[in-house]
Amino acid sequence: MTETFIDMKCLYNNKESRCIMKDNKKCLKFKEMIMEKIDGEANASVLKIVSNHIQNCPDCLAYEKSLKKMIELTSLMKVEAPDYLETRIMATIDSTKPQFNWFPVISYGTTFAVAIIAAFFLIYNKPFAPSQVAVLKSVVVEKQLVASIKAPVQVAKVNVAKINKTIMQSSAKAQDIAINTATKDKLAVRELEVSAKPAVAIAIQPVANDYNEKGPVRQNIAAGNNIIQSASAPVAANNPNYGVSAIEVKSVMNAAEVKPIPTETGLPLLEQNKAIVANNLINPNHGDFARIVIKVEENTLVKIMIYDKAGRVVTKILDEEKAPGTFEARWYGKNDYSQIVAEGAYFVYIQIGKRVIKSHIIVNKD
Amino acid sequence: MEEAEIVKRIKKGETKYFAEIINKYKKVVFGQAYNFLRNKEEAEDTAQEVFIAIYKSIKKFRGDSKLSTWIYRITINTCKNRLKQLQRLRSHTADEFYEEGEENKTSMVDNIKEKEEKEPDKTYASSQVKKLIYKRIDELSNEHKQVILMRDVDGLSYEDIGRVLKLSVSAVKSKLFRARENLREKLEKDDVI
Repeated sequence: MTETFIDMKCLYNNKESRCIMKDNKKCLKFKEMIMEKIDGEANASVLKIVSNHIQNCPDCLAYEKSLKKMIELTSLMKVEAPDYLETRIMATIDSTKPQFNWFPVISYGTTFAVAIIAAFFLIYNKPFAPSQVAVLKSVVVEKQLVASIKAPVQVAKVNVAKINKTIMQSSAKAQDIAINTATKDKLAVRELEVSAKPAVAIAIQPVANDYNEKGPVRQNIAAGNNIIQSASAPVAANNPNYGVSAIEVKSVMNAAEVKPIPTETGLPLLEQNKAIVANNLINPNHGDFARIVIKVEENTLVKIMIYDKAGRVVTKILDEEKAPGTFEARWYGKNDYSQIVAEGAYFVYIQIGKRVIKSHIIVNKD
Repeated sequence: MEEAEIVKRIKKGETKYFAEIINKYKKVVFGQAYNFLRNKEEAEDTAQEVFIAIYKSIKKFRGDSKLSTWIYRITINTCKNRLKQLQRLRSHTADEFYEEGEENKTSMVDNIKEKEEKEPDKTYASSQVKKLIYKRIDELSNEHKQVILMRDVDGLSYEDIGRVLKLSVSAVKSKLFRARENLREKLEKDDVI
């Protein structure tokens, strides 16, 4: 077959061009124009050219027919959207309506408030004088020291109950005034253990000395009094020496003390409430202490805790089983490490058996 | 109400007017989704996804282009992403999608019967033929498939297709021509046309 070139004036794209026709092959240019015609996108001139061409080209005529058929077939692929689609989408949109975004309002508002507070602070507070700066520095140094002491102290925390037990065992055995050498050794060990915290060691020292100097405790031991009983039973109130009993060793450690007191306390409220805080405004610098008086009616677990405003435990005054009686716990405004606590309100949590009583104590240092 | 007015009201927060947009374009969106995914449920979900995307971003629509073009573009992109996602999740083909939908098959046969009743001379359309066409269209490249669906199924003009696909009219023309040639050759081999 030979290639034939048909000269024609192609108005397609308003350009004069030559369309290449090959025998038994496709006339690409015309076919594209045929497609345009079928799609209704051809202009008048293109339509004219295509019509003229198709009359003389059976190949292109066949092409036009097959293309039309194919387009009809592909157009059958139209699908109808389900009726409920609109309702479904609207329901989803209604449920996902954008909410008002408060974040910028809150963030800008906070920034503005902070700026205002800072401005007031700068206006009404004088800048730090050099002396104040020095004081501040010393406070910082002090805090650092306290922090460095805290760690070893925690390790060397004395188990007071063990000491008490040791003392009592030895007291039961010893008929003589002389202290068992084993007890002495143990006390010495305890002293070594607590030596990391001077304040605690000092607190222990007088009690240890009592043994040597025939102090009241030793007298108790010598008299064969059961210290546990005297500490928990109300009859101990009659014991003139209860004030310096073994419990006091514990109370010194906890910066608080618990004593059994006579039932006739003269506190009518106690009968009703089972626990009262008799002095709840204290200044630890002046040696003030808060009096927490509790009444125990049966053998039960008694717990007295002091919490700060943040809910942290400041000190555990008591957590043990008590026999019936009236007891007074004293809190000297100190934490577990015998440090005077900061000014502010502190919460007292008293639990007698299943009963819980809550109160508060104000610490003021002025 | 004109489209521009509807868009304005939706932007102001009058959600109820969005129903009009859905009503107008649900056929196109669902059709496109169905032809891409070949599964009724997936197409419904995708159509919903498209309309929610439109609703959420309608504030960004400045009116530079026609709303239909903009919607179409979102539809195409969402369908493409969904198809990719599905292909990753399940390695099933479009054929499987199609064969699964017995219900769809019936509706399509009904469609053909209806057409046959209206135009009795065109008896070529049978469910088997239709199935074959679906298969052959799926064999085309995504670009070719897109232009054929846009032109023959959705009836978009060359200009609109150009806007959606960001192509010139002449590029659309040549792409459509090549796509149709490709499909025609396949269908000719199958003796369908």
